[in-house]
Amino acid sequence: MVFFPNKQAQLKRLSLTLIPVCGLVATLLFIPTIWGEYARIFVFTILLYVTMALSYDVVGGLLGYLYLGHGLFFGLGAYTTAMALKYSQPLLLALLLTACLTLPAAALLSLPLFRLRGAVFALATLGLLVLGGQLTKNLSWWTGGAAGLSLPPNHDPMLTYFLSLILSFLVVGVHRLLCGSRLGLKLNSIRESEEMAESVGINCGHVKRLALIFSAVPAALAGGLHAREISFVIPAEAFGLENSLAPLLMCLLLKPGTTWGPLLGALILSAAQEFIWTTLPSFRLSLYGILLIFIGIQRARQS
Amino acid sequence: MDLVTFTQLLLSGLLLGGIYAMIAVGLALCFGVLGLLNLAHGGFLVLAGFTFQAIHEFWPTGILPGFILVPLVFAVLGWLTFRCLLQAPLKRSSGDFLIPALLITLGLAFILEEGTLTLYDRSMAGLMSQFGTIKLGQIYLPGSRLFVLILMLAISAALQVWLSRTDSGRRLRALSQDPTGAALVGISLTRVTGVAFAMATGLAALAGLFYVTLFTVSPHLGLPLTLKALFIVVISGSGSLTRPLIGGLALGTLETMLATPFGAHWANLLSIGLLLAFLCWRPQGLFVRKASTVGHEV
Repeated sequence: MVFFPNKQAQLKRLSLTLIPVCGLVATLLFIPTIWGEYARIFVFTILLYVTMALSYDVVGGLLGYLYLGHGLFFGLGAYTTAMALKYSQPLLLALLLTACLTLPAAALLSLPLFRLRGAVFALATLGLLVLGGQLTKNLSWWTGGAAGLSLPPNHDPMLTYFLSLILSFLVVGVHRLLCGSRLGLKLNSIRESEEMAESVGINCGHVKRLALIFSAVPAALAGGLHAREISFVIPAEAFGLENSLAPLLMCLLLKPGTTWGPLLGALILSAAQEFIWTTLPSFRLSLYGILLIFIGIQRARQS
Repeated sequence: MDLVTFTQLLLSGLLLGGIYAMIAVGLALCFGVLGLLNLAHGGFLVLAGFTFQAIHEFWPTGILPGFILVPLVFAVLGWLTFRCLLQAPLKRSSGDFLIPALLITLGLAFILEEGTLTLYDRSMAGLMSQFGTIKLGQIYLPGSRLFVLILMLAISAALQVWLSRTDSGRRLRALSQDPTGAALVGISLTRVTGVAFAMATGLAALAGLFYVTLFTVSPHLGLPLTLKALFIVVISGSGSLTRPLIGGLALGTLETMLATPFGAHWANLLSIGLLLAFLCWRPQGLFVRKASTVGHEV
């Protein structure tokens, strides 16, 4: 954060950011009542994508790892929330439980994962995603297997919408703070050179673990909200590769490691996705493919 | 478990392992020569399987010509893919090509998966029942398995001969063992890498034909299959083609043996979990000495 010597300037700056944000929140809150159900679902999807893209950016952009396991935490969150809702717990408690479960899960998974780097890390996280999906399918007595779980109907769609609004704004705010914080700088220095970072006394293992936690918890909450919204979870979708790839593309499309990059990327890609869903539904995966190839070629030019 | 069941299991395990080995060897060719972990490999495999099924329906007696034709077509396809998508980035990137290549081939895998779905518009392909059953003593051997077993042995022998006896095979091995040395004696990087990628894609297509003959293929099979084979390749370390071959055979046998007590879906889970554990335990590969000792030698 920039240091302001004078308290008044600080207040002025704060109000300058707070007023537009409050205006945006108010507008977004009234969208469903003005434009109805379709607009609500569309904005809800965008908000979830913003959450996913920015939380992905903590590992994929600030830390600079090629990370393909974001969908694992989305799926984990979706299933945890779904289970809690299945036993007729209120949504807020279910989400709290999800966050409490994801935190140790991410901390634990970071131990073996961050022994790896580069391409092998990417492969291992992809393997974990596949493993998570397969495990959920296999534990059919518990999770409903490949057929999935149906939840009791969603009686309060405005609540999920409101929660997604809070979540996405919270993630944007935390990301903004993280970018300017010591932790963010440590992450950036690991991205530039891990050896160098270690040599100036940064505890790389600890920092990377924190990054994974910061990235995993919002993703799990997004998964939980998604499960509540559609009242249905299946392994093929909850642990689908798309949940890893969409945030990856949104993050890498413009400028990873900044707040506005993934944010704009999420807006652009979700609009593009909506367009393709309505016009050429069988072209969806190919869009991902083409974008990935494009980003890969760009990356090769830079390195 | 009595001896007959064990032999039967071992045989089917080795067949599955043979397919894994074929995939892993193709990937190891790419990894060794190009330094490329190819995520689109399984996509080619699945596409070849579906193509073979379509050919078979159109022309029921064309199994043997199909076995020769499809891999050749796919080798050409692989070469074209390499020229269009990978060659320029490979040349341009000065440092690490692994990450960009991972992104590019992942994109390609998606396009191939959707291409297979739209082109053939079905969710399964399999030719298992096309051959009769042969009885050897007490062991039942489906004809398709015998056919695949013989072909697989012939192909690995041919591959070995190509690698050890022909000029292009020697160039390829030289490049995978020591890129700088190979460049010094005048081996063209672009030409050999193109050939390697084409060979690998041809091998993927062959593996796809075997897969569709022995089991059933679905369009979504590509990526999990590639992942398992890639884990084998990384664990074996670069610079060798025999280690991935043995690794593939071992994984197939292990998976089949585990499938008997636990069921196929748990066996699949266990094999992925085991490979992941190996990977996290020794990320630099099982057979590679520690980086510090290598540094001292240089």
